[in-house]
Amino acid sequence: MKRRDFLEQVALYAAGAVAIAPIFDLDLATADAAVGNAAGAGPTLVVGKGEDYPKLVRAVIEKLGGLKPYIKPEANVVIKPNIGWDRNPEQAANTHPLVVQTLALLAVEAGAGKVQIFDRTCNAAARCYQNSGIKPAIDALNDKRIICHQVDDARFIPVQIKQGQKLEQWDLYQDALQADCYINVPIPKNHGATKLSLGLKNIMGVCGGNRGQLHKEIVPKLVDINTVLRTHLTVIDATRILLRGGPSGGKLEDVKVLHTLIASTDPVAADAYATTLFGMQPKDIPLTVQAAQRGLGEMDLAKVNVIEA
Amino acid sequence: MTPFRRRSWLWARRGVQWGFLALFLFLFFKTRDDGAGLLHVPADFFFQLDPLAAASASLSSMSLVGTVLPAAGVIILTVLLGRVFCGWYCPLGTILDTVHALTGWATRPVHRWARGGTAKLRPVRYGLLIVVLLAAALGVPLVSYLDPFALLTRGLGLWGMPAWGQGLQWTASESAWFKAQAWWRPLLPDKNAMYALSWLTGGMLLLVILLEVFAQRFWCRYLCPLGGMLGLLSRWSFVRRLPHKTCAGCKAAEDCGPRCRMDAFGNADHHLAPESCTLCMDCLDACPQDVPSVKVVSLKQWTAKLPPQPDLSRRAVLASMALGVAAPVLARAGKLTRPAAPPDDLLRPPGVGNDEAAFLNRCIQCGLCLKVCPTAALQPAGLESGMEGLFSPRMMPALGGYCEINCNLCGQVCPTGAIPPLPLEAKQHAVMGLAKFNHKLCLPWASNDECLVCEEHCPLGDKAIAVKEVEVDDGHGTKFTVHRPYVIEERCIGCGICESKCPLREDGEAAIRVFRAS
Repeated sequence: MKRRDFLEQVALYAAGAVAIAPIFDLDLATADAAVGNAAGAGPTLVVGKGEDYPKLVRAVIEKLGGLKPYIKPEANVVIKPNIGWDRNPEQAANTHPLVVQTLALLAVEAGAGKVQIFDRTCNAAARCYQNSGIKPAIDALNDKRIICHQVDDARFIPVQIKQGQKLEQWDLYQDALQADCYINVPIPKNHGATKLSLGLKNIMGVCGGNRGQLHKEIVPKLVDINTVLRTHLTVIDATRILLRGGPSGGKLEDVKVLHTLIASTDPVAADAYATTLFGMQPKDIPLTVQAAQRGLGEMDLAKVNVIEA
Repeated sequence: MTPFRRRSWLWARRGVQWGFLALFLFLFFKTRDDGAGLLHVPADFFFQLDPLAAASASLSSMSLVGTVLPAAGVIILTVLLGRVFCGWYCPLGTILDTVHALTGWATRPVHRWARGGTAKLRPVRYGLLIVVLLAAALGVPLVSYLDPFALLTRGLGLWGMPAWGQGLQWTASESAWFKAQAWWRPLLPDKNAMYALSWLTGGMLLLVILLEVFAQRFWCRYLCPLGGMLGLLSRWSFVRRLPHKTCAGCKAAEDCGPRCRMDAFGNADHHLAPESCTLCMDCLDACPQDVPSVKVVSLKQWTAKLPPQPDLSRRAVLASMALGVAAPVLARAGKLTRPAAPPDDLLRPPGVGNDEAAFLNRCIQCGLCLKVCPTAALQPAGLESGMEGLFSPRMMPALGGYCEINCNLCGQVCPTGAIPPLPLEAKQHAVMGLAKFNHKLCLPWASNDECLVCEEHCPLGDKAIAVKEVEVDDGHGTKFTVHRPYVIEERCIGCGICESKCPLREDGEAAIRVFRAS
């Protein structure tokens, strides 16, 4: 028992070490080729609009080349929405349930063996999972391969952050680290500490420990964590955005309905584009700037290949 | 009565006992947040039937508490049929019977040895009943220390359930096979909560169970004031065990009298004391003579044969009354009752408001609100609000819980209305307290660091925590902006999520804490 644990830890430290290698590798080039770009050109970003959210998600993902390039047969897929708050879908504090549901279906259609959906919530977990509509939407699929469970506190493991500027290590969720394909599905929101909460910030949902302590020098710490957890695909649910009072929200007057979806393999480009929906510039958001500076992606939208679905 | 018919009464009683224990455990298990904030079961069902709690709460609050009506039904049942409630319905009684069934082989010698001595304790339950009712009338309600359902609910909810959950988690951490199984996960408690004073509440329940070593149904026979109340009402019941003319000299006398779990056969002529008889039908089953010994008496027999006096001498009654009056007086003099001003961080559930006295007069410390609260924000109070406040719910963000903005379960569950059943919108405006910053601790104020976790979590649409940008010097001439939070007092409802999430709380004290509003 103890030896198995030890070997598991060593394997994960090694995995962490591998993960901090340059993020963009052959997988990304393959995906770009699928949409007709030559390898070495800027990242691709697809944006779509529509009121039928399942149809919207399918159209955007299809334009990106489908999920098959990212999902090997029987792959273990993790979809990481924002389920952090005890709010209903209209209040735009969590990812829209239909977006999560459609992505889960697409993952299974692309050949995934297992799809896990979870978030370490801020409010009481049962309430968040229920009232966000996400757990009911996943349960409605009645598919044993698609699982939406609360996180298990015992499954956070310490990961060394070799490239860390402020953090040497942090506890991260085992299932997220072991995913073959990690799909980040945030909702863009106003946020007191980071100005906006987009995709790069959403990684807090797989962080263990005293997350309050991350808020001191939160921007470099979030970049640190993003260097050890590889995000294969970022799908930003901009069907609704929260303009004020975020990240918990509460007032419908603070919600702007946009019926928009953004998808990219470049998490920085996705965040940069989503920033413009608030009438702000990518350079206004410190997290986007520092992530770009440290090689996590491209923030200059002029260099991003934006395709409309 | 044929042996078969006698045996069927026994099985009927056992069936009803198991049924009601199962019902109690089912309701207890279902006293939880399903996520949507609805309670699908009448979680306070047993407290609705509890005439002792109803009487005490009504006396101390000088009003008729809502449970008086269903509790009156139990009183009528008792007057007609005797202490059938204790024998057939009480879940604590069933638990004690189960304990005896499992351990009787070992404890029987102790029972035989203790029999003479324990019988003298019979008046104590009446004494405790008098003390409870008088103390309540004089404004120091003490029913929660002795109410069987409160003891059971608190013991299971604050100690048993968390211990059970910890046990399952520990087993999973020690055994990979167990960890991989899925069948036990629905048996986990709904939250990973630990409660203050859990060893005290667990200990009180365990003590009641451990008393079984000295006599079967020790609690029911000698201590339970609810049993005492129902016992006094049973004197005129219509269902009695009457001695048959063949009982005198019966060779099987050792089979019925000594077998009685309530030691209700007080005298030589096998006459049953109805205030102790719980109609368990054991004696009926044991009787070798084919005589109908337990029956519904006719009106003529009822008037002709009044039962003997209960074993409560006038001296004992007067002593109990004196104690019942003295207890609150002495408690007040000894400063054991609630202080004139409650501690400034003693927060009560939403809707209770500032009137501590009115709250404590209604709260029977049943423990249901503590069980149902989804974040374990409600914790049992110690003696900070006096003897009468022990185990009453206080909202304690310092231990990690906070009041969820979209939840009003505590009000739904409270049997006496001590926590008013506020509709959700009213509850969202109910002020429990006011948050205050400690600028010596708060990172942006004390050391110019960034934080704002409190502001992030404030659940109000118009947040009660706002941020001001302040330009500061880093000491080496570089200027930078720091975001300093402050409370907008008129908006704050004191839910405590800010205190709960403050990163400094786990190190000892949060930099923002909620205090009483006034």
